[in-house]
Amino acid sequence: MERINRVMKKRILLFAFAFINLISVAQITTLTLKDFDTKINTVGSKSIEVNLFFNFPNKYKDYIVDEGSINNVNSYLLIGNIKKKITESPINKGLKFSLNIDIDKLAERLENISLNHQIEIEKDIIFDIWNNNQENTRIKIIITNNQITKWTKNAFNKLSKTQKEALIKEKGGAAIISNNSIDIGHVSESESASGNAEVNVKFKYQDYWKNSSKIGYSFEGLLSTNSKDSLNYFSAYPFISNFGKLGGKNSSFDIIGKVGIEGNQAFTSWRFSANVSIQGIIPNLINLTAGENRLRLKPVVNIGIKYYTEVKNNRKVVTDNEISNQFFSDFYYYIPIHKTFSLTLNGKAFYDISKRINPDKKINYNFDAILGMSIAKGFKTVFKYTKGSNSVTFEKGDFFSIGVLSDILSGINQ
Amino acid sequence: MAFLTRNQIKEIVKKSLENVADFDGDIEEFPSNDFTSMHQLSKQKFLEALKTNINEHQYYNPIGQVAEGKHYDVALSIHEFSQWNNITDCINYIKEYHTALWNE
Repeated sequence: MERINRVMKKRILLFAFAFINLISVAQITTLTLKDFDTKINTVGSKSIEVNLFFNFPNKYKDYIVDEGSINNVNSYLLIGNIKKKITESPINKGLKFSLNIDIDKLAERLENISLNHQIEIEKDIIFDIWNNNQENTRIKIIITNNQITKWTKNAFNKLSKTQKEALIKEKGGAAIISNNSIDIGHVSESESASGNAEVNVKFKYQDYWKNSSKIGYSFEGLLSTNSKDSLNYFSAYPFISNFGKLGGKNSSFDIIGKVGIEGNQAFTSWRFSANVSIQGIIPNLINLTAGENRLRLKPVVNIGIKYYTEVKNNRKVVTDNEISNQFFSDFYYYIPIHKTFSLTLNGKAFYDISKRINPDKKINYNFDAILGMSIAKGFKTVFKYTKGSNSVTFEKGDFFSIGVLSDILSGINQ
Repeated sequence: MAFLTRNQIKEIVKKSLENVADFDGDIEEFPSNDFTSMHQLSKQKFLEALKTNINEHQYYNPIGQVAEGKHYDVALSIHEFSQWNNITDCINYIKEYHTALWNE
């Protein structure tokens, strides 16, 4: 009898064990793919990533992935017969696969992933989803290699053209940081120097040379339908580079060098120039918010010295072309005013050491002042005022204009 | 816990923003133009601070205890910044895309 009891107990235990296993197997579930997207990472180490977002059934809609429950699997990106190790990690509602990018081989890598590719995992990915970190809500999820392979087939092709361009443009980090911008303005007859209505365009564009993450180039200028306007200018710098941070890697200041040509619009006056400057963020100088809840951005300044040699000059008193130096400071300052207005100051101050060019030893300047207001749909430029001296010809002028593009493309009018 | 909560992320964003701006009130209630008018250099410095502060934030294991061995991370770029209309978008992006990685 005792023996029968022992056998019975053993059978009950075995049955219970099998039952528990059966239950846990039954609770392992899988998910379907809701969506996926690609992201680029250019801050710190450079990478591209694919994010897979899963469909959580309605009853689990408030659940998230338990980050600590994911098992270790090895993931690879397969491009033809090339196999690259990538990193898998969980996100709130799915999984992320990241591929570190070798910046020096960026173009090659982007070309590679335009070929057929897919992600493979060495074993199934298993993790829990749960609601509000409550143990009793855990649901075990399994994602198989077949699913990953299917979902990630040519996934990196979803990198948009702008993402690829941004990846290339941002590959050097803060090396040649500048605001690329274009702003078209209209100057009325009464405000223009010529007495006719004028249209002008102010622009700035910087980028890296192909296959370089250190050396860039830039164009900038103010060009007008009145080519003789005193404030018009055009500069082209085929060499721009960041020589490093001033005072250590945590410094807010970068040392920037650039070499190029600078002239007026008609090039009746132009010169070769070499510039070294320190670019950084300085403390706020003014508070016009009157206690309103506004973000008071700190001013950005670029202070430096220029060496130049004139090739052609249009000074009224005939003088030889000069070789000289200029101390200069560029600045950008967005000043919020009360609840809805803002004043954006963007300009340059400069001091030329040449006695012939700057006999009065004056500090000259030029600036744009843009008054704008926040509206429900974004931002509206009220007016723009430009005033000062041309840094190449020293001619003076000023005008009011109404921004055209700035209201349509406020995102690039900075 | 493990993933950062929205409040933790908001604190990280606030701390990072202090590198490029002054403010007193709720960072989600500024006019959007105050945020989008940031100079390119300020954007870069803000993103660098954001990355550092996320990477250096204490890692919490799933039961909410500070633990070693992992760190938080999120993909950041000026391109991604240009997709954000305001600070709320920035916070929501980090909430959705941040992850925890094993330390190397």
